[in-house]
Amino acid sequence: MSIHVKLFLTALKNLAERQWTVRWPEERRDYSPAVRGFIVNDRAVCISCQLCEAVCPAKAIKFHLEQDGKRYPGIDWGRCILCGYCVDACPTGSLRHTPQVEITWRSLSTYKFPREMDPDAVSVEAGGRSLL
Amino acid sequence: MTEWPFNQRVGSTFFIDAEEKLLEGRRGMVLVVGPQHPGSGHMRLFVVLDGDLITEVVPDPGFVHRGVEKLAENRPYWTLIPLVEKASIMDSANITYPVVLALERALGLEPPPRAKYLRVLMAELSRVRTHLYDMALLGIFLGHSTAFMWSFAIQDLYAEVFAKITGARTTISYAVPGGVRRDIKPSHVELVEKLLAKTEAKLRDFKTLFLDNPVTRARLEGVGTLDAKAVAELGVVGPFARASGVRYDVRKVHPYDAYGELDFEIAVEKAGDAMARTLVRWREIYTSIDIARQILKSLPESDVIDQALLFKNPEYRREGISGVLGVYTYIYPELGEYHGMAEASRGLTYVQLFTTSSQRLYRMRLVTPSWRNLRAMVEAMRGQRLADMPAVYMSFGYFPPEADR
Amino acid sequence: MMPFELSSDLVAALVFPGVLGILGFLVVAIWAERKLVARIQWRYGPLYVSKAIGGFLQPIADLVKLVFSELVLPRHTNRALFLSTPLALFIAEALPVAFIAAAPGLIIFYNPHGLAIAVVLWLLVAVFLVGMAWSEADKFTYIGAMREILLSAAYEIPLLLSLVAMLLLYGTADPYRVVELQNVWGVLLNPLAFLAFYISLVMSTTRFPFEIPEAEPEVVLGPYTEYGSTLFILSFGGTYVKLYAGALLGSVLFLGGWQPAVDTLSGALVTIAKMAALAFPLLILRAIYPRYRIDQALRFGWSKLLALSIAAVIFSIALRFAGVI
Repeated sequence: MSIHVKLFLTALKNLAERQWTVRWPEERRDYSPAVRGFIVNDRAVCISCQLCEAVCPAKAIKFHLEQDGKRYPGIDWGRCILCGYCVDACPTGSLRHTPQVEITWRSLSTYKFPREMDPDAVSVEAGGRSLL
Repeated sequence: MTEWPFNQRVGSTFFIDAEEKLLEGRRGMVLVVGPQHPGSGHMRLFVVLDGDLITEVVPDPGFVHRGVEKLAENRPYWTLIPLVEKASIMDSANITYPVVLALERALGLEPPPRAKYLRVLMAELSRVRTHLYDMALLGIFLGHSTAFMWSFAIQDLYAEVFAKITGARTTISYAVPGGVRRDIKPSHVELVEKLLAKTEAKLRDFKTLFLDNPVTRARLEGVGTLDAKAVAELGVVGPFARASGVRYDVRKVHPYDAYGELDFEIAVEKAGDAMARTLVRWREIYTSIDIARQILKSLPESDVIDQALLFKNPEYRREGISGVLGVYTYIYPELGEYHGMAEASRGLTYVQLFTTSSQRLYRMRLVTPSWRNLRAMVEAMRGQRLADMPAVYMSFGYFPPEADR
Repeated sequence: MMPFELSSDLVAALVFPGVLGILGFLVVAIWAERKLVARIQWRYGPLYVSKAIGGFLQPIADLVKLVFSELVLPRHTNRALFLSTPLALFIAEALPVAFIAAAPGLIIFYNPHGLAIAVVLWLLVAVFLVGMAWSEADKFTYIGAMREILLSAAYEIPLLLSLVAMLLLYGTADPYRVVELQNVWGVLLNPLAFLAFYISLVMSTTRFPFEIPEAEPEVVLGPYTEYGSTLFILSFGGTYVKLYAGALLGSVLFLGGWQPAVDTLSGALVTIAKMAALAFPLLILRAIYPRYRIDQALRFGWSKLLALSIAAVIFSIALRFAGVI
């Protein structure tokens, strides 16, 4: 009998516990600083070495020729698993992750190898609610 | 009973015919549990019932078979890690461990001491997380939704810490041949300490409400009992073998990485029933927390990547990231046959690699614990009541993607 | 003089404890259960429908959604039975309410043996549930129906005995007399009977440790598996109606009914408060217990619970002889 009373008291005690649910998008989880989010490429630093293409386990990266005569990586976001191998392999640090973890696209045609891997295009900042 | 046409279509009278054949002159029926059943997971179970008692269970796994072993053929060796970890995403730090160990043997690399400790830290945090996940599913299978919610809430703290340290919530790909991909910072040490303290604080109420609950005990005690002999014969591994008194843990028997230098006891129970299997995992959570604390206390100062790798091309060392992935494109494994063995959360995981002289593998063989425990799970269900089926199922922590690979 | 007079039994039938009370309880109880359980489980519970009032309209939104969802009739069933049994079940679950007084003058059918009739009607419900499960003709509903039969066999006798104990104690089954006699509440007079009644109530409404017929990982949803749309509301909402009837009966028999109020309106409010107090622990049971196995529940029902209810009857007889009431 006493154990059942204890069970009820434990349950009632937890009525006062703060809700752990994160009400996205009103609040976001805090995964900063090193979360492997949307990948951007700094074209000024990129040396077109194609190591990122070579290490990619999902074969998600393809290089494309740009107006300036250089080749730059483009990511097929349907294949990308955000393992970050390309970022780790990049010898110059031109590829990097951003804290943008919600990655969605309006249509099938736009998420394949989009050319806009511009670092300035990502506006999401790190930070948010931490459950710890 | 031996020939089950698993490809029967909707509307087939096969099961009705089979029932009549199976249960001649007896009351009973064949219940097809799964794959679209709340209590089956990604698999199908043919449960032959005699009244309320289960006389036979025929499992039909393979619904989430991805062919990891086939996919691993003819692809560069470093891509095995993200490939293998998808088989058991909660347990990603542990399930990739044998792959990394085998690749290190093939490449002749030796991780520095700090990397060894960090790998073990991640493996133990991953173990806590997987046990909590299995505990959650055991809870919901018994109808205890609070245990489910609380376990999932607590394990989400681990996801957050993983994201902060390694960059990803679940598929962390943290250990790589020759070291780890990211070093941890002093702030991360504090974070992990906070995580462990909070886990312990929150697990107190969880224990009261779930494990000490008389209804839970009534549901788990004496259910699906396997003795040590049966467990050994069926080839059960991990906490489920230790629950029957088999004292076997790869971390102790063949200590890999930092496990030889750490002081810990493995949890062993004698009873061999569903409660013992749950309690072993419950005690392992605390063992893992203890190991994690020891690691944080005695973390050696060194690099986190084998110097041999950096020597190949020093340019690839970048601040905060051990950018070693590019170096792998320069080095080749020795031709031969290599193996790796590690204690994942659900038991022994074994990997055998057949390398060619190129960077691509000839064959990878991956033995996962859930697959080895499936036979025992089915044996343990026999003779129990229908209501015990989900209890026995989740007391084995059976995870179909891990078993089907 | 009003131009037309609302007779009190019409008010009772339409407002409280009748139709409006039942539907209101359905909404409030489902919302309160989801909200309370969510808070215990560190969640918000229903929130996004009517955020200002804590998602109170969520059950109504769910009801509307269910009404407009497609009604699937399995081909192999007897359609007439398949369609009619949930309705019969819902009505049968609500019938006991008609014979219980919620406040002075608030009763639908007055009968000097009203409470006894209510109890008997309450125990007849299981028949419809089993009929429903049978007409669905599915293995999981069949197992659920078997479990329902076994479970009702386990709780019916203790429930009946605990109520008999109270009726013996009061010496009447008159819905008004029973309340008037309770200068001391029934729960204090015979706590054994209350305990047996309360546990039987948990079993009969299949609340959590005894949520065995519709155990999800085993039999999907038990007797309710094949139902969708409006029929699902009727069949599954039936357990909440049963809970309502049980709480009403319990508050009248054990918590002194509408006492200390004397007039109709305040009496009804007092009864509602007492019903809420009785139903509250039942609503959070879902967050506390897993479910028993059917054989464990039967063993409990046929041994401890039966002994408790027999002890309650003996205790009542003893009190009666001692002249307490």
